[in-house]
Amino acid sequence: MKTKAIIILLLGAFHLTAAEPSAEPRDEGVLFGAYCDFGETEDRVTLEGIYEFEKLAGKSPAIIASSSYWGEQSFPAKNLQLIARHGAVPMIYWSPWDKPYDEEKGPDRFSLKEILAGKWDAYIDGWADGAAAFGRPFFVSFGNEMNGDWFPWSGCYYGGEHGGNEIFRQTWRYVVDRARQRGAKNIRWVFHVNAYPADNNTWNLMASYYPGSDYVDWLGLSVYGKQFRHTGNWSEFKDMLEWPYEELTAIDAHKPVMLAEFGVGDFPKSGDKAKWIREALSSIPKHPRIKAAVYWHERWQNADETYSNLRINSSPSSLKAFRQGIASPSWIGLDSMPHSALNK
Amino acid sequence: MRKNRFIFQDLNGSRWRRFKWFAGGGIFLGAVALVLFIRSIAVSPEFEQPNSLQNLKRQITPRANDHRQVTLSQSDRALSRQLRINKPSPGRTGSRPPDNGGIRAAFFMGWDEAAFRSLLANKEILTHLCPEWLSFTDLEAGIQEDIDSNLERIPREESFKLMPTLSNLDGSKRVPEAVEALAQADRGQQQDFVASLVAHLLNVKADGMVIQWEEIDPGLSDELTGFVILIADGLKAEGLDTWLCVTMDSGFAVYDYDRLAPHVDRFVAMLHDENGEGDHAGPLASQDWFDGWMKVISRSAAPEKWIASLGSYGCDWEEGSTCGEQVSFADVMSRAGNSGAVGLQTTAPSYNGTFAYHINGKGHEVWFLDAASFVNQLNAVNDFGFAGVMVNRLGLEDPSIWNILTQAISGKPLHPAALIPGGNAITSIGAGEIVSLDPTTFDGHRINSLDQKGRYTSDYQKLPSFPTLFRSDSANDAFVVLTFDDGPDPRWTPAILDILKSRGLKAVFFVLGSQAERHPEIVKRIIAEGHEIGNHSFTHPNLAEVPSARIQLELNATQRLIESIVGHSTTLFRPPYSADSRPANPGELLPIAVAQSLGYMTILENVDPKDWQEPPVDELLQRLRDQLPFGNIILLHDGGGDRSSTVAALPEILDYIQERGNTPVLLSEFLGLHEKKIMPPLAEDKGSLNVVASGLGFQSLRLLQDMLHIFLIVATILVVLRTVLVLILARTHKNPASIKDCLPPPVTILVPAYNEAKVISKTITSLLASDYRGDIRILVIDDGSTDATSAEVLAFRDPRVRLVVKKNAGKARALQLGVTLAETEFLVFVDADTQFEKQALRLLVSSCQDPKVGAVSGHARVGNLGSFLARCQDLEYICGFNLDRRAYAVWNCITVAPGAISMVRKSAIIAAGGFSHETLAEDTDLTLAIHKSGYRVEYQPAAIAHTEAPETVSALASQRFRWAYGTLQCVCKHRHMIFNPQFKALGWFSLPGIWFFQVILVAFSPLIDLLFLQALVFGRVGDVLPYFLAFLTCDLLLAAVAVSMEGLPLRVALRIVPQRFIYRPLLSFVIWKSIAQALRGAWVGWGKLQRTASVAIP
Repeated sequence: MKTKAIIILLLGAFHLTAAEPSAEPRDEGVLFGAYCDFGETEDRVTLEGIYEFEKLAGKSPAIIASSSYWGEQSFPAKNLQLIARHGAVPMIYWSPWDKPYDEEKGPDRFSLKEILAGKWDAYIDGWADGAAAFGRPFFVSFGNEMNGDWFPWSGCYYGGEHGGNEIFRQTWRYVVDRARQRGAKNIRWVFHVNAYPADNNTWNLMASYYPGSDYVDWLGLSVYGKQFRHTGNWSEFKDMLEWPYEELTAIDAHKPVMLAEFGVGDFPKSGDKAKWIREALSSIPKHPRIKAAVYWHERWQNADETYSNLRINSSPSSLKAFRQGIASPSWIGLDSMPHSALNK
Repeated sequence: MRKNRFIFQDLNGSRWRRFKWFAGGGIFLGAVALVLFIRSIAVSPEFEQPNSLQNLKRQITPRANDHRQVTLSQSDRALSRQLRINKPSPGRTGSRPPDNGGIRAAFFMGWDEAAFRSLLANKEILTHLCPEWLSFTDLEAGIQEDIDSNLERIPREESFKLMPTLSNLDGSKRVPEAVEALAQADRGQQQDFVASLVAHLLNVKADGMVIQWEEIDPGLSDELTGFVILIADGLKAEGLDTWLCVTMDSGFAVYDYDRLAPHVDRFVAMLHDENGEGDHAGPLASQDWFDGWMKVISRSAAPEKWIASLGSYGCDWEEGSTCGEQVSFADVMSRAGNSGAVGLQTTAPSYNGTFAYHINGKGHEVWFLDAASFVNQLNAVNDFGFAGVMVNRLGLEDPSIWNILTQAISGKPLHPAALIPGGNAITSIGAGEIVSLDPTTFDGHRINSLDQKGRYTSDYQKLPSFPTLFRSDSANDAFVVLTFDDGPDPRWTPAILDILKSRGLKAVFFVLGSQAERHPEIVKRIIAEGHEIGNHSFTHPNLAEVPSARIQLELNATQRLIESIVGHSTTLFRPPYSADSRPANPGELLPIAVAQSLGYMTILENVDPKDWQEPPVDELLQRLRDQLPFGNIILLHDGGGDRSSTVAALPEILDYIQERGNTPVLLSEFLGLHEKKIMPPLAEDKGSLNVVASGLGFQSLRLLQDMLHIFLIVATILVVLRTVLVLILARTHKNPASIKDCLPPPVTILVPAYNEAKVISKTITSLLASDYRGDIRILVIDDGSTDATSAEVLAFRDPRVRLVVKKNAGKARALQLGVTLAETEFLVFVDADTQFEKQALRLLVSSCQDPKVGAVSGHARVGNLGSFLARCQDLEYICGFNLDRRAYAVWNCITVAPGAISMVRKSAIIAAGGFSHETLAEDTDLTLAIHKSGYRVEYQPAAIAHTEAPETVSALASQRFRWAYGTLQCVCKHRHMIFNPQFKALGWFSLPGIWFFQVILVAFSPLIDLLFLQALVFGRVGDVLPYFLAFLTCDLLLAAVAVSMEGLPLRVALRIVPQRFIYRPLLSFVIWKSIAQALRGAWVGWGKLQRTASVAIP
């Protein structure tokens, strides 16, 4: 009788601790995350979009990614609540730029300098309040891929070798400090760099942007294969991952690593997308430090009228490869994640 | 002359007078109540319409339109890129005159009623029809057909060719992946696809196909071009044409036109959507843009290869939105007219029309293509020498374009019409499913003129008006409304209410009056738990097909019913059937108009997972997921069929709705109205008489229905029990012991006769032919006959036959005289029209040897089987004698030893007090009296006599009336025997049986028939059918057993079916007549049967 009661108690305790979706790294396995192609804008999350992606993938992502643009001047509470009700952990790319959200146009009214000057304190505070009110742990990737040259917060727009990286570091610490002061302790800060820098110089190395271990919870990496039909060569997944992985993990010996974005276009004449996906999904869990990975499932049209199709279903063979790869138990989806208690 | 008293006698008629007063008063009161009830339904309930048309109209205002185009559309960017490409034009092969024999095709959507109307009106002008039928979005699923029923509706004998489109649309979403994958797949896979495509096209007898793939990657130009060539060649081999749609944006770069030209029959240039999906408001096909693309096109393959798809529609953008709503030209006119837009023009620089308006505080900008833009574009197309034009699309167009195309056919100069006919379309303004109707229609007109560039411009002087639906919606995007139609239903509604209650959610129930009337307790519960109720009509007719008076009656009756049950009115209305589509026919507007005039708001729906198809839960949920992004009024059903899948799916539906971030609310909250506006409480002073009258009326109807139902159940149980009992008892019956050895005693046969000249001699002859070995004395008592009865008897010069003649005084007295005159203990009664079989007398006598047996009933059969009516009675006799009497004999409770053939001991008659004259059924009366004296009454089935049955309905009716009246008299006279333990089975079984089965059940059988008829009319046969079948089964079973006992073929038993339908009303009629006669207290005479002398012993 006694042992039975203890077992029941233990089970109950396990159930209680398991009820919250977790943004913490696990000893085994990689959290499966995705950006699910919500249509025209990255900051619009729909349940039907999530369901559609889940149906394609055959596994429900434990992390659902979306953006929050400073130009909207609001905290995406509805998106976060929707994702939480679904049972997943939200991942937000919190990007300081203004409409129109076009790349390669340089800093605007949300420039890092303006932020540091305190011009957007109220917005940051309000956003942090929203995050605190949300209450559950979630990921925030602030100023992602800053070592590239396409986003306006990249170091290259702030003097490059002449302190561009330092301004980014300062801004990061400024924003995180404000958010923490507002009580948004539930944010897991993801230091999110591009796998390869736009300008391959010392000032633009990953470590040059690192704001310090106190300010970062996860190390994040964007790993893309070929994305554009007419530019770039086909590169295999492992070539894209290995060296950046080494560089990133060297920054901090303990922090968990997340592939904050990964994906590849479908160009059968250049390379085999199915093979790329197969390799990615089988090799990622073999990297002990990688605890989460977010697939970028989107199709968009480029300026030269061609399309980039990173969707997992860009071709039947890609879809098959993705479904098979992600089905592995080393990928932790919602089904292997404790379900949200909010639903019931 | 002093008459003896008889049962029911009422000498001075006071009972009848009393009855008349009571009955008259009752009928009068009933009639007044009925009139009040009908009046309460005919007079429409009054309540204030919360969402009046006037209020809605005030919310629509004109707005200044700056006509400024801020951003370049995707299509503009593609055009400038194309124009930069330096490519020589293939040049025209000589200039051609304006097209007069070219292609005039049209895009067609089968779900659009307006498209059908336009097709029927303009089919003569068309050369090709391109219905949106096929799509390809999934490599494994292959080609999908969405033809539904509209194939049959397209007139196929017409001269136009059928060219279905093959799109890559999945619902409203473009899916490029399947096409791209197939374009890159191996040849074998592509050929399989072409084969499947050909099969689809041949199956619908198409003449070819229009490929309409969009958002395909231009990076795959080579592969796609090769794939299209393969398709075109495959189709050509089967005699099918291939047209290829080309969008005027980045999609233009997808194909290599030089390579395609030898294979593809035509390219269709989609010369519209300058600002389309993903663009902000702007011109749909401005003239410069149009001309620019014409230039690009003209250097890509020969102009004869090209068809120009010309837009004729409008697009309405909400401010800031990049997702415009495609609308018809009529919608454009209606929106402009209702918003009060002035100075509407189609003019330079774009030669597209535009205006702006406000609705519900939101800005809207509209751009449209009309007849003027059509002329300008058609002129350009003809100048370039295109093969023809395609109208995009039927049902949306400015009707004037058909005149323009007719002008083109005859080679006349093209010009738009000035008159803009109103009325011939249904238009709508605003978004949402809460609709009000403005039925006003009138024509409009415009001034068309040529400007300096030789292009037409239109100046709209007066905007036409069409029947217009004003739509309203919630101000809160997150709100949704769950609606349940066709209930309440005791199986499903409570289950749905339980689920809603457990989650604290509210819904709206559109109830049917007929259902609410049967289940008022559920209606009460719906209101008690805080939900809203709407009016869904009383009987669920298709209101689009019934006159307005019926619509009003349906609504009023339901409204009064709801008022009487819950004390609130409802202002909500949803038409049966047509709620699941946008009103497309004028007929569908009538219910909305009538409801509106009565004060209702009409609530349509925009999320319809079609739960009435009873799909599996997963499927139901998937349908809801697909539609919820585009709607907020969800239609489900809690009645009208098996709703188990709705109930099963509801928890998951609610989960999904809430997970999505939607909040299910009541319509009052949805519209921001006070709940009393939606369901106003009844004003105490207003129309209270009507409310009370309708309330009492419905309550009485319910009570009546409940009572009928209980009666039906009780009757069925009793009938079944009786059937089982009779069958068991009849089987255990043994013929009475016959003593063969003893000396046969002398017997007197009494034959009472009144005007029986035709048959009496046959009767006597049959008696004389008896094989009875004892002494026979036949005593004919002529009860004062006026015919030759006595002479016929006297003609028998046989000592065994005696005749007594007396003054006419009735059968009972005649029999009494016979009994007095008879000198033997054993008396046999025979009717003068009845012939004995040879053995009958012997068997009767031998059954009566036991001194405790006071009477023995013989077995009467119908002798004249010539008519159907008689054959029916034969079956009735067979059942009655073979089963009932056998069964009754077992328990010694035979109620009648019939006067037609029976044997009675004289001592028993004397003990019973002789023949009574108090009833018309002297045989029943006597039999019961003999029982009382302690004798047994036996039955001898083998003693058979053949009697003459009435052959006309009136004769049968009068015979049965005498029987019924007599039986009624007897059971009243001997009422103390009923439930008297002294009389055992007689008191507990056979006498109550007479009351229930022969009086009450027969009297009320027409009501049961009416109930059945009502069930049939309202499609609820299932409710009554079990009882009906139980009755019929019992009848058939009894008949079959009886017939087989008689040794007749089983098919004779089938006669019971028609017999039921002839007998029931007849028997019911005579029972009621008997009751009336009993109340009146009158005597009934012999009711003489018209003798035909057609009985013959077989």
